[in-house]
Amino acid sequence: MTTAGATLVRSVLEEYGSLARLGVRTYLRPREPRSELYDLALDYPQRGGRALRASLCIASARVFGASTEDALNSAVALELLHNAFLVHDDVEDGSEERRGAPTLHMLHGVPIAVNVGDALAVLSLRPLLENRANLGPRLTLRVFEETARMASESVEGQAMELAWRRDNAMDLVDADYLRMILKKTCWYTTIYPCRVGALIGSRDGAALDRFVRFGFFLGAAFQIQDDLLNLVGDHARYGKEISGDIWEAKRTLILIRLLQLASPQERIELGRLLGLERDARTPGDIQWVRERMDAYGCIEHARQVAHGLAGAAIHEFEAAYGGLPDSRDKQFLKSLARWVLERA
Amino acid sequence: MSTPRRTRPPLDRYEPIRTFGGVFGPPIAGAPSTASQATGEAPSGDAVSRGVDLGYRVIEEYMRQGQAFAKSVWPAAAGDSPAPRDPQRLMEKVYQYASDLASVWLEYAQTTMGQMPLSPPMPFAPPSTSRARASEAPPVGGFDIGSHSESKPDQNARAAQVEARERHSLETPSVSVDILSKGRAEVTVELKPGSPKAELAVHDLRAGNAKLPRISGVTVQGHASENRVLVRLKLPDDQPAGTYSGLIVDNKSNLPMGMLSVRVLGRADA
Repeated sequence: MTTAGATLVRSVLEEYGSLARLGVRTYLRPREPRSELYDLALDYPQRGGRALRASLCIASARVFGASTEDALNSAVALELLHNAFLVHDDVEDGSEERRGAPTLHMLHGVPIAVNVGDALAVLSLRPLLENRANLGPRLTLRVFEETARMASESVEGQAMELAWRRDNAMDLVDADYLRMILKKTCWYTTIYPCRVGALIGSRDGAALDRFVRFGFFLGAAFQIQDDLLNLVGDHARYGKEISGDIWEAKRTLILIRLLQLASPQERIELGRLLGLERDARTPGDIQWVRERMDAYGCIEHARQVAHGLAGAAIHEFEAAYGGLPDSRDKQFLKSLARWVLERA
Repeated sequence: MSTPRRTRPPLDRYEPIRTFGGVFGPPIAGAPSTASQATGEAPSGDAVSRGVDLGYRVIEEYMRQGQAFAKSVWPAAAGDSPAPRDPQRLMEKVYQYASDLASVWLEYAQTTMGQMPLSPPMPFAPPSTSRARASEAPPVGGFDIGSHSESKPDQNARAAQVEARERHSLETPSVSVDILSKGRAEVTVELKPGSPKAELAVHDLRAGNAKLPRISGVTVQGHASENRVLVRLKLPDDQPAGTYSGLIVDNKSNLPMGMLSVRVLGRADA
């Protein structure tokens, strides 16, 4: 990535991210009950994170001529909901580490963590309601409609993935994976922020379909890169357990590739390992799966697919934002496709 | 002797170029892999274009399903949130924007003047969060419903006086129309409460079809003491049939106060 592009992405993420984090803290100000709810709700947001979703939302709105303030409530709401999803995902996945520290349920137990996740989701409604002051009642409702759709798509995607693990699915193909992440990841990570930003910036004047395509390719490249980092990333920077996806038997593109290429004998062994409870798997099991992934070039395959999808995102960027005046925000949106591949 | 028939040259490609992997140069592998040769897999470049092709198939299938679903639920709809092209819908949007702007303006006026709501409570606002709120620190996040303090008695009394003064002007104004026209026409006037007090003006009335001539010279006069507005307009004899609309604005602030629509009926309609 060009230095200028990388610098721009970092600088915009820092600027809009700090605004969003400030907004999140405002809604999570300390109050009772603290020790079992509000202090814990602030835990994940305080651990950092890039606020990619919030920044996308603000940049997309600004590209269409809106002010930062017009999009900030929606961006803050999205960050709150994102953190709610993270808390619940960690419980559902049995994850042990998040942003360099133990997950919330590891620290406080599953019931408390689930309730904190619920609180974060509920609190995300408040900034959406407060949109009314800047956006008026009609546009506020339109943002709500988009939010309702995004939330539905996300939980449907999550249900697909959870069902694959429950049923120990072994015959998945790459298209299944893309369908799943379209709903589970892309909708709330990239599609929704772009759509809501455009909705606010254009005062509901822009057709929104084009942001589904751009957001899908960008979000899919982002998710595959995330899956890759889970296997080959630097633990200190990645902030999650390396090979955690194998421990959790997640059907990533890499694992699906391995299931397709493995010999019959290996498939039987894979089926046995993936069907176990997390605690029943051993480090040796994980190591064996990881070695098979290397042997069959599964990681390389996923990396190439991610490159192709990021390229398609640049192509779709032109359809989504190409006709708008050039600006720092527009350059930021365009540079993201390359950034998602090169983030560590 | 016949000349050989001219034919098109062979095409370089028969399908879209979707090898976007090259956009970023070759993918950087964590470790060089010889697996593709070992497993007889397709070369690496194919993984890039296959992934893109698959991506497009997935997203197009998703879009088609979404459109089919939308059509089944709302038969008239095609695609989500289409940008309206229908002139009537565009005019509706203009009115919606004006309405939103006016409500925000009223809210602003309430805040700056420290008065009671000049409009009915908004659907999102809990009723009677009201006057005490103006002197309280604004809620900073979290749910504050039920946490507001009661108004003091003297504040209530002052508020009641203000309300009584305002009530008359807040009632929806009545409208009188003085129209001069040879043909039939329907006139619709929508006004914000309190508009008779303003110095009103009407923009030229325009049809959705920009080629149709505008209706100009329309006047609106407010009579605050009667809470009434008088609209005067004259329709040219040759005014084509159609719906013409224009904003009613406050001359001083240029803020929208309402909308005037005239539907000129053609012979068929008449």
